[in-house]
Amino acid sequence: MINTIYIEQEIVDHPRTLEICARFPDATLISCGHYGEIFNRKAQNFRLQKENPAMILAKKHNHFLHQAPPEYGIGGEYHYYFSHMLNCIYDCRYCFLQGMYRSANYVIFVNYEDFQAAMQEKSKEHGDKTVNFYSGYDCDSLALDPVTRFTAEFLPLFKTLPNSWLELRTKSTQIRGLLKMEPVPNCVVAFSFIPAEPGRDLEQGVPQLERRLEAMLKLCNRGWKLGLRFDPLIYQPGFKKLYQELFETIFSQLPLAAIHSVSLGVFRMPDKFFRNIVRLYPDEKFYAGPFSSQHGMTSYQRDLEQDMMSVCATQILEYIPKSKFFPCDDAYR
Amino acid sequence: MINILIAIHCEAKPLLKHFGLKGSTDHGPFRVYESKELRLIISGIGKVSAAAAASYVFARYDRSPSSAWLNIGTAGHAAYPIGKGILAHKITDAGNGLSWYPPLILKAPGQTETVITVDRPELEYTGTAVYEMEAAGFYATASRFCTSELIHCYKVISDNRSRPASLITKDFAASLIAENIPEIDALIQQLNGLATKLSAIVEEPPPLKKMLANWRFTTYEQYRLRHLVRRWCLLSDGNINSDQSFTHCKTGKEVLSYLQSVVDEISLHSVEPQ
Repeated sequence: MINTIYIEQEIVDHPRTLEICARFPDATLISCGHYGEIFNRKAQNFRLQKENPAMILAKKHNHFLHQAPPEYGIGGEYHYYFSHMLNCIYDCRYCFLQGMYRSANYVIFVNYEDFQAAMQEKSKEHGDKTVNFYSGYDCDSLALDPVTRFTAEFLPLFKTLPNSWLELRTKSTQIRGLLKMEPVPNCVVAFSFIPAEPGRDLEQGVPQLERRLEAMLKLCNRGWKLGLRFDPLIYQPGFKKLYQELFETIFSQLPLAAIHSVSLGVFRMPDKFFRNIVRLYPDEKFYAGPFSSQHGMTSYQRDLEQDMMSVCATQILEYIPKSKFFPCDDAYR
Repeated sequence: MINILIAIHCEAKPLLKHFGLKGSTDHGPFRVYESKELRLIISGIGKVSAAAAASYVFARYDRSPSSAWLNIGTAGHAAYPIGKGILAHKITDAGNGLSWYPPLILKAPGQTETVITVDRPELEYTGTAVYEMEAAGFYATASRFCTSELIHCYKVISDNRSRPASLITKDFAASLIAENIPEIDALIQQLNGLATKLSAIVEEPPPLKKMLANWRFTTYEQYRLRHLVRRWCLLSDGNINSDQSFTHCKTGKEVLSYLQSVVDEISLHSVEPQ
C-alpha cells in the first residue's frame, strides 16, 4: 500500500501521473522539484524505509538506455537495459539495489514516450541487427504492472520493431495484463529463481516458486516465450542437491519449446554496494558467507564460484540444448 | 533517546510536566531538560537558533546515530483551525528555497502538511502551507547527525486569518501544546520504536569490546576485526567463547590471522540463511 506519493512539479499534469494517483486515493500527494531531492539525499536508511516505501513520480530527461555487458545477454548483437522504475516491491536480501540506492522509495518515470522514442532510434540505428532491450535491472518488470501499465504501454511498440527484443524480468505473478493481450513474438518473459529453501529467508514478499511456475505455464499456454534466470546462484551447504531439485521441478513442468533462454550467474556485486548492504544488515547471516573481492566486485571465493557455475551448468544442460543456454561467464558456454 | 527541540519555554512547559523532565545541572547556552528516554532543549526563536541548539545537543549530549530528533512548536496557517496538530511532510526554507522531505515511514498521528520556515512572522498566510520559524534550521542540522527517518517536525496551529498571531499569549501557546499531548505521545512512541530498531542494528558484536581491550590494533586492523567478529558471531549463531579461542595469540595481528582462518573455515559449512 502506498501512503505517500511525491510528484515532480513538471509532470504533475501528465496523464500517467493522474492515472497512477487515482489508484491511491488516500495517499498524501507532495510536490517536489526533482526526484533526487528525495531519492538521492544523504542521511537515509534503506532498511527502515523498506518498511513503508513511498512512491515518487518523476520525469527522466536523458540516458534512457544503457549499454548492457554482452556477457549478460541472451543472444543478439546489441544489448541495452532501461529502467522506467527504480527499486522493487520485493525485499530480496541478495539484491544489489539496497546497496546502490540510498532510498527504498519507488521512483516511476512517467514519460514512457521518451523511453520509446529512444528505443525506436536505437533499433533504427542498428539496422537489421538484433537489439535486445532489458527491463528489470533496477526494478521488477511486472510486480507493479497494474499500477504502471508498463507492459500495455511498451509491448505494442515491439510489434513495430521486428529486429528488437524486449526482456521482461520478474519474480512476480502479475501476468493479467500479458494474458489479456496477444503474445508479442519478440518479447521474453523471464522469471528468476533460487531454490525454495534459501528463498524462504532471502526473498521477502516474493511469490512462492509454485505460484510463479503456474504463472509461467499460463503464459506458455497463451503462446508467450519464457526465460529462466538462475541469477544469482546462492551458495549454501548442499547447494548441488538444492539446485538439482529446483531444475528438476522447473524443467519437468515447462515445455522445452516455450523456453526461449536460460541464463546463469553467481551472486556478485560491486564492493561498494556490498559494504553498504553489510552496514545496513550487519545481522544478516547471508553476508557472513564465503565471499571475496576481486577487481572491485564481491562474489563467492573463486573456487566455490567455479564449482557452482560448473555444477549448475552441467545440470541445466541435461534439460536444454546449448543454443538456449546463456551463462554469464563465457567459460561455461 | 529522543531529542526534542522547542523554541520557547512556555511551549515546553506542558511537555516538561507530562514527561517528568528535570532541568539539567549543566549551565550551557541553552536550557536542557532530561529524563531517561527524552531530552528537551529550549532553542530560542528562529532557524539559526534551532540549528545552534540541535548542534549543541549533538556535541554536548548525544552523538548516537540511532537517537531520534523532534521539533515541536506552534505555527500559522490560512485556514486550519486553531489547535490542529500537523506533522511536516515537506519543509521549505523560505530564505533560500531549499526543501527537505521527512520520510513518513511512521504513521502520522494527525494530518501532514508542507511547512515553510520564514525569518519573520508570516501575517498574510499566502498559499496552503503552514508557516513557522525553526523547522528548516532544525531539520537541515539534525539530518547531519542521524538518518532522516528519525527526524520530524510537529506543529500546532496557533494563528490563522481569523485569529492573528498578535493574540497569542504564553498561556495560550502552552494550552495548545497541552491539548495535543496525545498526538505528541503517539509520535514519540513511534520514533522510540524506530530508534530502538536502529540501535539494535548498529550494536557492536559482543566479543568485540573485550578483544579491543586485550590486544592492540591499528585503525585499519580495528575495522577488519569488527568485520571478522561480526561474521564469526553470525556464522556461529552466537555460540562463541572469545576467552578460550585466542589464548595462544600474543598480538592483534595474530588474532586477526587466526580469526580469518576460523571464519573462512566455518563460512563454507554454515551459511544457511537465518
